[in-house]
Amino acid sequence: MKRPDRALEAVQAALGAEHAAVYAYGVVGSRVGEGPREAEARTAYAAHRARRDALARTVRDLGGTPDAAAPAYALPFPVPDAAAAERLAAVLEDRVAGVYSDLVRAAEGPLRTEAARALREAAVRAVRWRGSGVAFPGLAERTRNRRHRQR
Amino acid sequence: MIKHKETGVGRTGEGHAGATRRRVLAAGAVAAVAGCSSPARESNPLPAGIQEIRAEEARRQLLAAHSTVLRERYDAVIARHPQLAGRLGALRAAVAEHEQALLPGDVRPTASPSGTAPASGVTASKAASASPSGAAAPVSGSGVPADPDTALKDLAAAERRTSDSFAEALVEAEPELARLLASIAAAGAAHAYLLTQAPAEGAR
Repeated sequence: MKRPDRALEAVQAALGAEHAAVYAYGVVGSRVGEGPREAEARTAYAAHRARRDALARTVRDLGGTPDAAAPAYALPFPVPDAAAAERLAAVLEDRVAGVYSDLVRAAEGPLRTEAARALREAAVRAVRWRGSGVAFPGLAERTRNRRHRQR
Repeated sequence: MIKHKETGVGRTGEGHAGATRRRVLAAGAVAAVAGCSSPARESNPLPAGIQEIRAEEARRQLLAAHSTVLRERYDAVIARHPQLAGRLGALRAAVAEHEQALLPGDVRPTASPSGTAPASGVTASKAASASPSGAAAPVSGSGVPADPDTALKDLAAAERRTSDSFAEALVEAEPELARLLASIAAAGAAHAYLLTQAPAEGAR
């Protein structure tokens, strides 16, 4: 595959993950309860919408047609309460981090830089939700379910 | 390009112990040896592919030195403030993993005929970091703030500086290395966040 094709494919994958994140953050926001977590969910929701829109523009810039959002997405587990909502938000950020690390590899120049920035933001949001991090955010092959608890 | 990288390392090493600076400079010397033309290379020309590989290995050693400097910062803070060991242990271990991941897979002092001396220094640091966490050579806590909160803030700043260096380096890196650097830079930003947060959930 030619490099621009790989980049376009990776941008579409990132767009798909952001569509799913925007959808799922709607669920997070409705379950996370009032207080600082609600504000955090709202901020993250806005951030993912902005990333989604930017990625759709990038797809067009690369000569593609942006994939549309699905009408609904299957959540990885039931989200009946605030604790589950926080877990879901952390998982969303892990997934988003994964697609951005792939985009870093596939892209060059400003797009690569932007993907790295998005990966960094996702990694920070993941530790905010979870209270702990992994050594290699976005690199599933190096993560092996190990977490660095901080407390 | 090499010069540019050296500047980046210098920035990370700012205010650190002389030994640390020397180690980073040694890694820089390896980069210079492997990346630039030298008398040895002229008299004993290598196929272009091997030169490429050596330049790549040198770049990775230089990048790994950033994580070495950072890990030694953690060791120094833990030595000065043992009560922080529990809180910092996992973060330090992650930095040690970054260091290992960045080092070229097969680094031997004999890899470069003209680079034996500086390369052996880097190999020694690799061996030291390969030891189990907590079993590293004793590190003096000199240069670490007496106030633990200030020490944590300094550590967070060091994480941010290192993260920025990796974010800068990934622009020109080959694709797979760029992906790794982006992940490590992201981990550094997450570490900086954790270091500036109160350790207990209820404390926020």
